[in-house]
Amino acid sequence: MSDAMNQALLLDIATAAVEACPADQTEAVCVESVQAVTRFANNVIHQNMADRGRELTVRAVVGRRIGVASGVISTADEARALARQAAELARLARELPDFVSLPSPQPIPPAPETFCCDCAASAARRAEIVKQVLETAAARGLKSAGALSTHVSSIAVVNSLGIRATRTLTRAHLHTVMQAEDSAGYAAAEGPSLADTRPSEVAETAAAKAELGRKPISLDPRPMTVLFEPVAAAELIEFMAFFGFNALQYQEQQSFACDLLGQQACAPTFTLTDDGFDPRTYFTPFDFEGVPKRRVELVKNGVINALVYDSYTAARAKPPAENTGHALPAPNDFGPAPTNLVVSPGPASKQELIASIERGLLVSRIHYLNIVHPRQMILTGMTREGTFLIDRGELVAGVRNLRFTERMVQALGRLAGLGRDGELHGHVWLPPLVIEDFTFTSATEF
Amino acid sequence: MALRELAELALGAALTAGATYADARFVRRCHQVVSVKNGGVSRMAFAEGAGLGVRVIARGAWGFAATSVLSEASVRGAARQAVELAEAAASSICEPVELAPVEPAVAEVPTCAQIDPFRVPAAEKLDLLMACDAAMDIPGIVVRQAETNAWREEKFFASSEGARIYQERLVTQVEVVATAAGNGEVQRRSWPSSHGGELQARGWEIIEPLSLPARAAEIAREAVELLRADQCPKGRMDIILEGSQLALQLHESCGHPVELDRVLGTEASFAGTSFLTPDKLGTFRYGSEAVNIVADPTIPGAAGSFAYDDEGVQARVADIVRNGIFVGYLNSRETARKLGLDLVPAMRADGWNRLPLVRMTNVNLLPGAAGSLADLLRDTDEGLLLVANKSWSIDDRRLNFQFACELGYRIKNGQLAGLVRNPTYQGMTPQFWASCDAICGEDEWKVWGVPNCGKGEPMQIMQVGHGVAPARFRQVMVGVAD
Repeated sequence: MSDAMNQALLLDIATAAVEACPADQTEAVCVESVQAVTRFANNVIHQNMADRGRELTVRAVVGRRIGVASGVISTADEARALARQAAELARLARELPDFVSLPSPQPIPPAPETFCCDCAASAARRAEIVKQVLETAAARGLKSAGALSTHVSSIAVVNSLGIRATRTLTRAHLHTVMQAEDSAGYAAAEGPSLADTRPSEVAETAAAKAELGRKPISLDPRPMTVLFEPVAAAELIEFMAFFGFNALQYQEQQSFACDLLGQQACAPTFTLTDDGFDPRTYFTPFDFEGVPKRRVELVKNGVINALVYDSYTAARAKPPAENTGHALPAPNDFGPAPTNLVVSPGPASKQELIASIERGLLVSRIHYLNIVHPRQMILTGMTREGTFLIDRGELVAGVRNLRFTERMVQALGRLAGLGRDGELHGHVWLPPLVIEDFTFTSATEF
Repeated sequence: MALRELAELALGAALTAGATYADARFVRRCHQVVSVKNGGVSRMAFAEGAGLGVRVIARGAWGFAATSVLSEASVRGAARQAVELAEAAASSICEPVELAPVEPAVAEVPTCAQIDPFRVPAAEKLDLLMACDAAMDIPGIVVRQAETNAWREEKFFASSEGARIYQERLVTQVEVVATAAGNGEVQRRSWPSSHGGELQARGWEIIEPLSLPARAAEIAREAVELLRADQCPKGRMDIILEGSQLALQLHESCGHPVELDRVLGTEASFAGTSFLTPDKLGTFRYGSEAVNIVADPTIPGAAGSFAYDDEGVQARVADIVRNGIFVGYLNSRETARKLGLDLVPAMRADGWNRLPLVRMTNVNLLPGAAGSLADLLRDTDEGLLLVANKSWSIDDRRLNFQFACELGYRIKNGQLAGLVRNPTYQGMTPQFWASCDAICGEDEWKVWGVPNCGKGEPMQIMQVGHGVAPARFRQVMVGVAD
C-alpha cells in the first residue's frame, strides 16, 4: 500500500472513531508502524525481528472528565467500539478541574515529504548492510555488536473540533560497538533513509576508537575539560530538555526553569531551539494533538528563554500561554516535551576543538544517565566505549571509564567550544561540545 | 479460527518454510490506569491488544516476526517472514544455534489472584485515590499523585517440540507520591515504594493491608520536613538500606550481571556486558558470607513469577550466590547449552511482538540472622538508614554504581536521630556486597515488585521481583552528589 493510501486509511479510521464517540469532545490518534531490527554480537547476526501494528487511541471528553481507550484495531467498526469505550471511561472518571478544551484546528505549514521507501528494506538488504560492519570487525581482529533498525510509521490525528492531520515518518539507525581485548569504540548514525546509516564509516570510526584505546590508563576522578562527541552530548541535552523545558514540570515546580527562566545561565554561545520543521531533524509538522509545532527558542544566547506547551498546560498557565504544539500521546501526565532539538553550531572543526584543549577528555558515549535532582538538574552517568585523554591538543591514550555527577545547566555555562559539524541522534541535532571543569566523581575498572 | 489453532498454523507454516525449530506465542493483554493528581483525575485509561509472535531457527540462525492481525493469512505470513529473517541472519553465522533439551510441557495455569482488579468498580478505585489525595493536601505539598494500574495477560505458547502451555496473569499496582517545594528545593516521598509503589501478580486483595490514606498523610509530612532537613553528610559511613531501596540495589548489581546473554556479549551494544564472566563461576567472591541470592520464579503472586518461561521451561529455584560465592546464572536454552549448564528458566518477552530475552524473575537476597529492623538499628552505632530510591545509575559491566534515595535518617547510638535530605551513595559491586555484615530476618523479608526493567532492541519492559530484608553495609561512600 502506498504511503498516501495508508495515510488515507488511518484518517478514515480516526474519523470513524470521532464521529461515533458519544462525548462532548473527541480526539482519535491512529498510528501504523512497521519496524525491523537486525541485531548483531560477536560478529554474527543473533537476533533478526520484524513487526507491524496499527493502534488507535481515543480520548473522550465529557464536561471536564476525560477517558482514554487504546487498542490494536483493523476496522472502522472496531474503531467505533473503542470510541464508545473511551466515552464510557470519561463518564466513570471525575473532573480534571483545570482542563479547558481539546485544541482547535490551526493551519499546518506543509513539510517536505520525508518518506524514504528504502526504510522498508528486506531482511536480506539489512543483512548486507550489517555485514559491512561485521567484515570490518573481522578484518581488524575486533568483536562487533550493534543493531540496524528501520522504522516506518504513519500517524493520523483527528478531533471533533476539526483537526485532521496526517504524516509519515521514516527512520533508519545503525550503531556499533567494536571491542578489542581491553578497549572498545562506539559509533552511530541515523536519518530518514538507509543511506544515512553510513555503515562503512560507522564501522571504521568505532574500530579506530577501539584500536586507539588499547592499554587504557586510569585517571583520578576530578573536574576536567571534556569534548563530548555529538552522540554523547545528545543524551545530556535531551535529558535536560525533556524535563527542564516541559511546561508541566515547570508548573509543578520541579524544573530548573523555576529558578532560571529569563536568566543568563548558559554560555552566550549556547542556543538551543526546538523546531519540527528544521531539516536537520525528523520533520514533525504537528504534535499528538494535531497542533502545528512552533519553533521555540528554549535557550537564546545562553538565556533560559522559553518552555514548550500542549493544550492542557497552555490553558492552565497563569497567564494562559500559547500552545506551542508539543503534546505527547494521551494519556499523558508527564507533560509536553521538545523532540526536535537543535544546538546552534559554532565555528570549529572537531580537530580544532581537540587541538584547543591543553588537558582533558574526549567522551564518545554515555551510559545510564539519570537525574539525581530535577530542580537542580543534577545528572549522573558513566562514560563508555571510547574515552580518551587529550594532552596538549592531541588524543594520547584510552582512559578507563569514569562516572560524572554534574549540574547540567551550570555545566553549559562553562561551554568553552562548539563544533561546526553537527549530527542527528534521536531527538537532537548538535555538534561536539567542549565543557570545562566537568565533574567526574568516581571511576570503574575498565 | 481459534487462537490456539492459529498458533498451530504458525508452527506448521514455519516448518514448511524451512524452520528446524519453531515456537509461537499468542498474547492478549489489557491495561487499566486510574490516576489522580492534585484533586483531579489525570488519567482514566484502558488499553487492549492481542497478537502472535513466531520465533524460528532456520539454517542455524534465529528469526522472529509478529502480527496483530489474527487471520490465517497474516499468521502464515508472519511465520514465513520469521524464516526469511532467520535465513538472512544465517549468512553471518559460523556455528548453528543449539538448544539445551527440555521436556515439552502441556499445562493450563490460571492466575492466583483472588479479586480481579478489572472488576473493581472505577468509583471504588477513585474513592480510594481521592482519599489519598486529600490526605496529602497540606501546606508545602505542590503535587499529590495517587495511581493504580492493573494488567491482565493471557499467553498461549506452542512449540514444534510439542509444548502447549496456557498461562494467565493478573497484576495489581498502587502508589502514592507527595512532592513538596519551597525555597528552591523540591523533595518527593512515595509509598509503599518509589517508581511504581506496590506491584504484585495478585489482585485487588493487595490493597487493603497497605493502609494507603494514612500512609499518604505520613509521606506528605515527611516530604515537607525534608525541605528543611540537613543535607546528607559526605564521607564513608555505615548504611542500612530499607527494603525497597535494597531491592533496586540487588536488581542493578546482581540481577543484571547474572543474565547469561549479557555475559556472552549479545547485549554489548546497548545494555552492556557483565563483570561476572564464566571463569568466575563457582569461585568468585561476590559478597560476604552473609550474602545468599537465589532466582525463584515459583513464589505465588510475585512480580517475576511464572509457571513456565517463554521457552516453555518449567520454573524452578536456582542459587545465584551461595555464602558470598557466585554460583549461578539466569539463562536460556541456547546460553545454557553453550556453557553446559543446567537450565535456569528466565526467558521472558514483553508481549507478542518481542522475542524473549534472558530476564530477571524474582532475584532474592535470602533473609539473615539480624532480627528486625529495630534490632539492626540498635546494633548500629552510627550511620544512615536510607529509604526509597530516587535515582540509580551503574556502569555497563555492573560494577560502579550510584544511588540517590528519597530520604535518610541519621543513626546515632542505635537510634534514629533526624532526617537528611538528598542522600546518595556510591560503590563498586563486589566491595559493596563484601561489606554486607547483617541482614534482617524472615519477619522483615518482603518481595518487592519492580515494574519497569528495560532491556533489548527494540526496548522491552519487564516486571520483576526482589525478595529482600533490610541489610547493613559498612563504610560506604555517601554524599557523593552535593
